[in-house]
Amino acid sequence: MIGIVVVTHGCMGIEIVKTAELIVGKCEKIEAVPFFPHESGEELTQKVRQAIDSVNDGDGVVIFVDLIGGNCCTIAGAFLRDEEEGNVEVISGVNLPMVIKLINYRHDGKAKDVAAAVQKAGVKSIINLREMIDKVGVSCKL
Amino acid sequence: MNIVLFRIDERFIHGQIIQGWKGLEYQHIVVISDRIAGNDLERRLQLSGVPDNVTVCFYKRQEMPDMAREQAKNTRRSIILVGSVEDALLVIQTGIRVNKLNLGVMSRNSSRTCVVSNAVYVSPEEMESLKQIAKMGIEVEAQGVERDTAVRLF
Repeated sequence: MIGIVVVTHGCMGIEIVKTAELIVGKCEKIEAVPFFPHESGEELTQKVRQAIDSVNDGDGVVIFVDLIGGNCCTIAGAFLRDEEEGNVEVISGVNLPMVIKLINYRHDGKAKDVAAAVQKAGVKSIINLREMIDKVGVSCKL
Repeated sequence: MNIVLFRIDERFIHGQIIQGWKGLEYQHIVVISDRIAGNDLERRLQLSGVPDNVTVCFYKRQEMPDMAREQAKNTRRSIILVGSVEDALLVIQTGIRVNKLNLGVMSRNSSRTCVVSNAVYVSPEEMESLKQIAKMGIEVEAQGVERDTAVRLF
């Protein structure tokens, strides 16, 4: 099973995990790592390290981070170098749909196999509702 | 009709249906609601997260006989969603064969004094109707999503 770690500034990641579990049910091997203003980069690295170890059962870990270029991102990104090749994938811009996608597909291979699909699910879910509603054409569904 | 889930859910199609019941591999959803069936925007919003391979039909309560007739021929793996115990009874009374009623979302209000789960509250009158349904040989269970443990009522 692919492990999941959500690293964010503040408690956003904790809440994303809670919300995902509301929708798909209780999950195992998923950890949120909050990063607070009083903490050092080293402390965050330590916390991410522990989280990776606690969710990795050999199929690798996908780490979600909130902001591209932010501290959570660069610290999580460093594990791409430190970890064995393919053990860790990092995806930025975390949103609920991509986390749920991974929860649903985490039994289907290793972290590196699903990373692209997980990223795509996140991107595809960003929609301007007015445009979508106008596009739903003449369909038997309506 | 190939019914894989018959559910009372006041929210009808929402995240739990789209993501939380995927394992059923459903291909079709029937929504019974006057509010949604009668409103173009509501119908479109209900469809917003539905996967492309899943079809959806909307019916008003008064169209229940049409629903039963039209859906009888449908062999797709189907979910039926109703908004109340009363409407669940209406579906059963059409003669459609179901063997289990799932209570998904029945939100809290002052008359619903029985707490079944964090999303299912039942009034004494509703409990009587559920008993009536159980007497017809239909299991009644509260379960939000597949991963949750089902709470068997009857």
